Amino acid sequence: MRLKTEPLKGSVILFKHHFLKRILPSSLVIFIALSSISFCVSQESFDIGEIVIISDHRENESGQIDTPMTSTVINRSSFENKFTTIPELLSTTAGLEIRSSSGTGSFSSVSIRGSESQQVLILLDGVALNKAVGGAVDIGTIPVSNIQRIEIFRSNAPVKFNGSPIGGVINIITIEPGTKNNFEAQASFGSFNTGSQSINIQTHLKRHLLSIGVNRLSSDGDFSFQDDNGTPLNPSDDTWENRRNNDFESTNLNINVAHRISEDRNLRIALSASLKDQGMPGLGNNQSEAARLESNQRFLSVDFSDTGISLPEVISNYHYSRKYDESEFSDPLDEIYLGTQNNRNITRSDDFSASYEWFPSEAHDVTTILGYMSERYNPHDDFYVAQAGKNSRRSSFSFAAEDRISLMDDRLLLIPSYRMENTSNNFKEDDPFAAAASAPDKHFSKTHSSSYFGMRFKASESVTLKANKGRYFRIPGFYELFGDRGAVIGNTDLVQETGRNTDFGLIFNLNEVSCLNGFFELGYFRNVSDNTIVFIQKTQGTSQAMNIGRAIVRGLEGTLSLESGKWKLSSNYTYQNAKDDSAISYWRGNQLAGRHERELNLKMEYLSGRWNPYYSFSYSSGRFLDRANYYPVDAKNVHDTGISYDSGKATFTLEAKNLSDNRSTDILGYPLPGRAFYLTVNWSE
Amino acid sequence: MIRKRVAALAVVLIFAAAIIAGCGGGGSSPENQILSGSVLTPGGTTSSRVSEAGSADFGNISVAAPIAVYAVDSNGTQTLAASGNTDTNGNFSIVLPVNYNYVYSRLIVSATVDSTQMREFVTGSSGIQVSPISEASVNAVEQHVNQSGGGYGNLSNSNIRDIKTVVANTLASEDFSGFASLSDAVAHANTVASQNASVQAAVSGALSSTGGTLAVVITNDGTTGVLATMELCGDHTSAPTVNTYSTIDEDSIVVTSDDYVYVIGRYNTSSISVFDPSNNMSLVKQYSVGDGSNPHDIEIISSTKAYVTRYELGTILIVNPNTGDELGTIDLSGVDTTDGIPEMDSMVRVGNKVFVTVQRLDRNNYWSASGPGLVVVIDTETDEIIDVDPSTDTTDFITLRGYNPSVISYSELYGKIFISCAGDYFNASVTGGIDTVDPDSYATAHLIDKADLAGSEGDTVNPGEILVISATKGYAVVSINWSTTVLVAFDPSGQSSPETIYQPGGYINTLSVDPYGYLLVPERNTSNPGIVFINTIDNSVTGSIVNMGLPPSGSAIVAY
Repeated sequence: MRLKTEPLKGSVILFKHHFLKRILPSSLVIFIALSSISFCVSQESFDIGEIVIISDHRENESGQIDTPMTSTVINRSSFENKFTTIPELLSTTAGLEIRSSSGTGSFSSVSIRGSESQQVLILLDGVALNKAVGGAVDIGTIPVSNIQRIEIFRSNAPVKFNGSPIGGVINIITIEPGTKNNFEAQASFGSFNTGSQSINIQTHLKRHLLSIGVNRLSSDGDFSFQDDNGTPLNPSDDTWENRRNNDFESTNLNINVAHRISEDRNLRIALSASLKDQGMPGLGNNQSEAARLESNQRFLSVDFSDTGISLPEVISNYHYSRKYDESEFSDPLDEIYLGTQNNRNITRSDDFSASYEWFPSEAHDVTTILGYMSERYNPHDDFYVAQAGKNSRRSSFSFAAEDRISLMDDRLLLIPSYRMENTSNNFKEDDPFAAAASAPDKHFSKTHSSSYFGMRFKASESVTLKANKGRYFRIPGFYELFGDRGAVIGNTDLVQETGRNTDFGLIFNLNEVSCLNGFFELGYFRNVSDNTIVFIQKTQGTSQAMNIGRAIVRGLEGTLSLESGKWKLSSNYTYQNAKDDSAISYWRGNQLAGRHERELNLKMEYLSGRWNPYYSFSYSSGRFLDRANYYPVDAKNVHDTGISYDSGKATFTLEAKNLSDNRSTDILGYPLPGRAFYLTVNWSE
Repeated sequence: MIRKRVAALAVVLIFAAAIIAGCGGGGSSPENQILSGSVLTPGGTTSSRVSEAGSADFGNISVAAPIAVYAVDSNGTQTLAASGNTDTNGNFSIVLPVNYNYVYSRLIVSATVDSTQMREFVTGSSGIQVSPISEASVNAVEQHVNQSGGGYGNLSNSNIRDIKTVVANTLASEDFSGFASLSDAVAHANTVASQNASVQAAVSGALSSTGGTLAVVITNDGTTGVLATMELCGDHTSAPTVNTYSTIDEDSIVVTSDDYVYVIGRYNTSSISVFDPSNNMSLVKQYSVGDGSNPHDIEIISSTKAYVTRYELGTILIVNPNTGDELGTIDLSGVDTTDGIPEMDSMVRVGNKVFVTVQRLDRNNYWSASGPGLVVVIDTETDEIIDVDPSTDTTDFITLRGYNPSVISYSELYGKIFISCAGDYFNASVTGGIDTVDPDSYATAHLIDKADLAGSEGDTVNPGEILVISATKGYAVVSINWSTTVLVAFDPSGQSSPETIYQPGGYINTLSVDPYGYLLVPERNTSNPGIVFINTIDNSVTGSIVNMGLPPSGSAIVAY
């Protein structure tokens, strides 16, 4: 049996903000020069032994992950040469819903199978982007140009991600160092002065494999929208306005280095750094002029794998990562109505894990993981008198074990897993803000556990059955536990949110029963989320988190993938009944806000080689913007189309998105753009 | 002459109605009402022979005459509410019990002069004129009720004003100078009016209309706001009729006038929505008062003029309240010398003055108050700021003892303005509590300190909404340590200590009292939210919580 390494995480070097700003523009030039040299040296593939890095899944014949869990893989081939974003890519996946505040580059969050956004674990090269302070991960900031693939686990997820997310996992993997030199440059231009420029280089230096990606994405975001003037009941005063202060610019750098130390020992170092400066436009009827948000995120991870040397017959993976995340919100004119402010929040985290995979028998593949994580949150106020706020800290120890039991000549696969996490939360009230309510000064620790059992049964060559049941948790964030700047009152009596996720389904492999190449997957799911945290207003200016929410989400998902000759069809349909089952009398029985009842995605491609047109259609309906269900959203039909011309090394793609100019919104009061056009030029060799 | 007097009376009534129902604290119901007016006869005669008066004009009687105030229910049954006498100039002033109020109750003032009874429907608290003309209106209605066999139904003030106008027009050309007795003059007026087709049509139309009293309730769950109403009838043994209407800004407050409901959408929409309670809460107009201006209160000066305080700006907007037409602004930016934004909040009108609370928060210093709260006084006739101390060269304002003033309420009984001052939410040492202001002398007093309102020693206590309903009773909403809201009963005279009487499960925006003397308290707990009725006599909770859909945050009362 060939041993495979598992995905690892880590980070060592921290770049200073200004350093990154200086280095990124020049790096573009350097990378181009470097790639030219490299390609002059060799255009051949080379072999430095078998290094398998970050390959954290086992693919079946359909290219899907061979696991009982319901999962989807979005490969680079489906979006390369096109202008797209992570929210766009995820929005067409069964069971996933995106909420965007203001279009391309704006804050966007994802929900899986009706979950809360903050219940979804999102990883970039194995490093969790979720923060202990709380809140959803902004997936609008992640560039796609250097992404190799995206793995999506709906509801249940492997223990190797070292988390127990109620809402599933989205694992984003950047381009891995390959054994073949490659150079790719891409530029896109489009509506609202949107532009994207990226360079990806894969090369080698003796025993080192190197992948470098740099990307810049920007947009004015000045789309037109109908401003209701704050009087939705009076259409006579509506006007068409352009979105203001909605521009953004982000720059990202990813470097992956893989080094084969010996035949059975590999080392991988990954650096990711991103800077983003964006306007905060505020409500559509009351747009801001000067509110800005700057974010600076970087991490570096080190992964070391040992396939049987240190511990015989055991694959050992060691991972260390350090992450630095800084965001600075400035509202000098008090336009967002939280007062004039300049808040700077810094999160630092260290993450270490050791995983061991061994094979006690032919039928068993056992993985155990030990983990330690430390995260520190430091708020600062730089507006009036620069001062640091109350620091919060979380540290956790975790243990997880998973057995992959293969029976009946691998026709039956059983996976039980268990994970335990002891989390210690600390809050220091050493230098409170002048305008902060006293939060309880508490230090406490709690132990949480999650468990899972899954089954995959190949009933025949063409039919596979799957069933999963898992229990997960989300630990309250610092905002919820300790409050924030007086507006949120801490509640250290909060307990963890829990989720019980069940699904089952079947997959038809169409290769075996027809001349078509593809598969059809049908599944049912039922997720119950308990003790979900809801903010309740306590006094005029304060609210407090409370464990009073409960939700039951049931649904059906169908996915169809077909290929016949040059034609390719991919489609999925989701029916979802996402009900509020809380004890909150005025919400109980309502549909959860932002969740569609029905969603259909369809994409057809004709891959002729030189001219490659595509057409995609999305339909969604049955959605409310609010928990009280007073703001329904009209059914949404979105048509996209485009065509690529491949001249060999260069590819030109022209795309039209949202052809019917559907105007919709994901968040009450925040308009989204309509029709848009993009031209993308890609050069690859 | 009579026509002029009727017109003048109508104007007085409208102004009086605006003062009492006019909303300063978000539509709060008034306290013990005082009815004042005069009794008039042809030539001011009090003798049996009108002809001896020698004048066709009506004038005040010159002897003390007995006065009685009756409440008339929908069936026409009359209950004596209060009684007294005119002075020797024919003027009267009668204090009503707290559960009687012309806005919500059908009241009739009766004067007996020389054994002749003359009555008047009460549609305002002051300027009531009892005369043969007024008696003709009451008589016309009474006749119709007797003939039809029906009751008074939900005869509204608006209906009565219409009837009185028609009757006055009908009798405008009549000569009352030659009658042998006052009784004959009254009978003549009654006959002419009751036989007039226009009067009959007006009475018939008014009595066939439906009306009543509504509690207009703002409900919201933190994201969604919905306007709701509840029929008020004083009966708490069965669930009242509740209706929900359009969605509104979730951060809204409600203010009522005699005729309309004004929903103020604060920061997010910065709009005012006008609804007609007599037409199933149909939308009359929705208009913006400036993007992001954050309106906090509207004070109705007349049917064509109102003031709107705007929390994010330095100017009060003068606006036609029912059309949204902007008429001008009143500059208050000079009131705050720290950041130029005075944080003007709520208003109350006393006569031709409007008193505006100004918080003077420093947005560059975590919203802390830059000094004691101020009250700016505006002349409603000139729309200019009144200098409360003309002895100095500068324009002066009323300086309160407390910081961060918010809700302002006028007590006609006391002749004082009550103002709650929140103090500082993050600094317990900053003065807060309930202050009073004399609207004539502008003298201030610190009635109750915030620490004495509720909570324990060391707690952070911040009062918000206040409502004074009688000589001995007022209510205040108080937050303790930012996490608990309590309802406190206090003595407006300061003679007895405040008492916490209820703890709702969330923040309360506004309080109101219904015509039957029940305090409407928004209960915002998550399991059973709704309106709680508290009997203002003994502060006991009465009946069941009335579910309004989403949790209520404030209410106001309106008759329709």
